Amino acid sequence: MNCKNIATLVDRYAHQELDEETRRAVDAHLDGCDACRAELAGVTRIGAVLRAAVEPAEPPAGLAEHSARAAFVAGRRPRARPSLLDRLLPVAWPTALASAATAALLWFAVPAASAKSPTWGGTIEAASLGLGASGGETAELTVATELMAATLGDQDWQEVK
Amino acid sequence: MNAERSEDLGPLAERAARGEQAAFSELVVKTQRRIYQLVLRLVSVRSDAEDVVQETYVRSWQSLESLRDPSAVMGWLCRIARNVAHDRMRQRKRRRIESLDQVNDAQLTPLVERLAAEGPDPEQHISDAKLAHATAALLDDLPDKYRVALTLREVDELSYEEIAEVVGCAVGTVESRLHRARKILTRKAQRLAREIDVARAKGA
Repeated sequence: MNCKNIATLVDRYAHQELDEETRRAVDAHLDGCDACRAELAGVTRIGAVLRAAVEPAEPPAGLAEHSARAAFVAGRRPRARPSLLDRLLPVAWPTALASAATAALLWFAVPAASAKSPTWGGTIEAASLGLGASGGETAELTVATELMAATLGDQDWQEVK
Repeated sequence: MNAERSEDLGPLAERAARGEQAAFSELVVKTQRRIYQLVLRLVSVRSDAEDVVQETYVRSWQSLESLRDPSAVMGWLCRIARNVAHDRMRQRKRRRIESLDQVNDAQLTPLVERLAAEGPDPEQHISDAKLAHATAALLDDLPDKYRVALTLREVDELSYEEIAEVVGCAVGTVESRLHRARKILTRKAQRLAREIDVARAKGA
């Protein structure tokens, strides 16, 4: 056992966490090494000062009950961050198709109103509605899941999902 | 001490994830002490710590079903707690107990002498409230990661493994942080001791 091995053991030695064999090896080294004895003295001293001056962290009575109650009142959210796959399948596709259908209808309706750029107006809208608009989809999803949750009750909803 | 080993919380976490409120309540009871210890050492102020613990459980109940490995629930809760605590500290810079230069020399001297002493020092019980105050100020001056590791170890008596879990780092990192924390604290105390000596010499 040398000073380098001892350095990481001194703290555990001071806290009496070493097994008998290791403790004896550390003892043997400490007997002949002033530097390591000073190191140990420092660890012990700082520990004693801190324990005397700082109160141990003890949670106040009722904290657990309060916390659990607050959690139940706040309730559950469907999913904090749905994965890409969740967003695209299976609920999103019907939404995208519906948006595309709406866009197609618009596309037929628009040329009559604006003769200037009839081709792109509707298509771009379809793209933004159907594929890019994850915000809209998420909102729809949230509404849907909240409705489900409201209808089924919190626990059943977990099972269904 | 929390008798429950972290891994044993898995089945409870699984039931809570399925929406069983009773299981969640039990999980809160079994984990709150460790979470509170971590949070109090992070934010330093008791009332803030209570708020952060509560918010931690609110968020964890909301997203429990996204927990992939229920047996790792303790580490997961600690991560949420650290995030909430950091949000809180960002909102209002950690309320410092008192900055070092506000603590006067008379309060600081006995503490500094004890910490800066070269030889072994028999365990002496310090009950003086002023001394506690000075220690808190000295501790408050340490960078967060060192202060948290050192207080969890010395005051709350957590093992290396427990500290690694709540702080979210490797056991080896805990070792080096503790070592560093003690070095910085001793150096600070020695510098203060010199300053106090100089001030005394000038005053005399």
